[in-house]
Amino acid sequence: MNSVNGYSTASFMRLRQEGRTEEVVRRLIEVIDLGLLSSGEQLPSETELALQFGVATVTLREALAVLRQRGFIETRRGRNGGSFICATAPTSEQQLQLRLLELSALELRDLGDEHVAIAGTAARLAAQRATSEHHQRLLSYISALTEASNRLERRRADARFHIEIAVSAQSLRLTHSEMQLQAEIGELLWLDADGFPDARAVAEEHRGIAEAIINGDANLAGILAEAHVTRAIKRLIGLHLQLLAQQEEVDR
Amino acid sequence: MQSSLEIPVCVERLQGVFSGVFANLLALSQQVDLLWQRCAGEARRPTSRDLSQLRELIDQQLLQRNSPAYGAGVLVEPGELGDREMYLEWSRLAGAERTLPLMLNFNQRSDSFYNYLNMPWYSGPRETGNTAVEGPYVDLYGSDMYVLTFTLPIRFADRCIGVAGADVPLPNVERALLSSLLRLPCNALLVSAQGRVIATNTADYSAGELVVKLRQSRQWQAHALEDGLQGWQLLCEDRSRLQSAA
Repeated sequence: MNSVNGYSTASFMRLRQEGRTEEVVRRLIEVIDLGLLSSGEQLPSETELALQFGVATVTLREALAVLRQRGFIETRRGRNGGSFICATAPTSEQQLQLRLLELSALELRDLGDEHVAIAGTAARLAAQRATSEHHQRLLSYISALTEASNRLERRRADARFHIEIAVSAQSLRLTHSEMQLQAEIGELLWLDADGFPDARAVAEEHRGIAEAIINGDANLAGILAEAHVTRAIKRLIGLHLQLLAQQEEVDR
Repeated sequence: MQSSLEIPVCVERLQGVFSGVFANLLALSQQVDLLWQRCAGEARRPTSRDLSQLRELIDQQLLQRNSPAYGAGVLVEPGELGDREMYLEWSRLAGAERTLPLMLNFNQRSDSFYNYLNMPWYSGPRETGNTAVEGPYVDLYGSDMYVLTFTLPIRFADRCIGVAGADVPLPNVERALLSSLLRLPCNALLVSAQGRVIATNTADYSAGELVVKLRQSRQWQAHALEDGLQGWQLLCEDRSRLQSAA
């Protein structure tokens, strides 16, 4: 007998670290990040939000405190008080590079693997299940991307396109997964680095995927979406290694 | 084993699953009509405050036992309210015994401006004067569920003053639909006007799938649904046509 049994039981029984508070924080950041709630808007009251998330008020307060500390919301006291969404401060190129550097190449590869699975499957199903309203929305996010004037807008149009594919696929789970992935890596994809495509080039790739979906070509849509995601992750890993090499140089 | 259902009986039962939803919408629209009448009598335009009187009825409907709706309310046509251009009085469930009013962003310059005028479940009934059912669809901005949206136009003095609506998550009605579909002697699909499967008694198809082609196939016989469910069909497989089709 080998130790396979003992080992696998132990590792499968380890829980994900994310607690209730972190989950609420993550969901709210996704929603703010993707522009579903925009700056200046007031969040519902603590009691309402707690009910909505199905968490205790204490947990919700903890989550709001984290968001406040990270600059996503501000809380005003008084009669017209409450929590308000702050204008998303544009993340500096340097901050983004630092975030990319902190991720490991392995983590990036694993994120990429998951995104390929989600985006590919969503695109295949969308080609079978989308109707003309979805097609119109997909095309509108492509125009939004070509017309975007800054990184935040480009990044949002990009994310919304991918999320809309999952919505067209009629799958709540794929939609949630895509939203989470976009919140995790979406911003990094718009780093302004050598070899990174401009909005027009990305929009062209989106157009290819959208056309395959509109033509009902599930295989082509899947393959194009997978290739699109794979290329993006490969660029990120490339840049990560490049930044790492520069850092090694400095350290030496 | 239970005896099998005749197709017309099954159609009637499927319609019955949603009859309560339509009855509630009608009650809501009648109360709005009363409200508009009263304000007309007082020679003034209704305000968002008047509209908030609907909250009691909406809550009562949502909290009704066996009600499949997750959210319900009324959306008004621009220019109808004295104090607001676009407005809705809408609540949704928050746990088994509570509801929460839905707040949306009606600031037209904002990214997240919620323009319901362009939503098919609003524009549809406004233009046709008939009830509309939208979906099922992934509702990303409202309920975060896979839902059907039912709407009914509200008319007052020969004009459309808004729409009464309800969101019904598909999982909330699946059991009721299946209990009728499973008693049919054949493979059967309940299909929306768009040709999307709402529920089916066979694992060969699944909810959310588009089956537009089946509607033209001789192997599948279509039976129309009524009572507000215009365009919906019950597709029953006719196995005797299997050979001739092959």
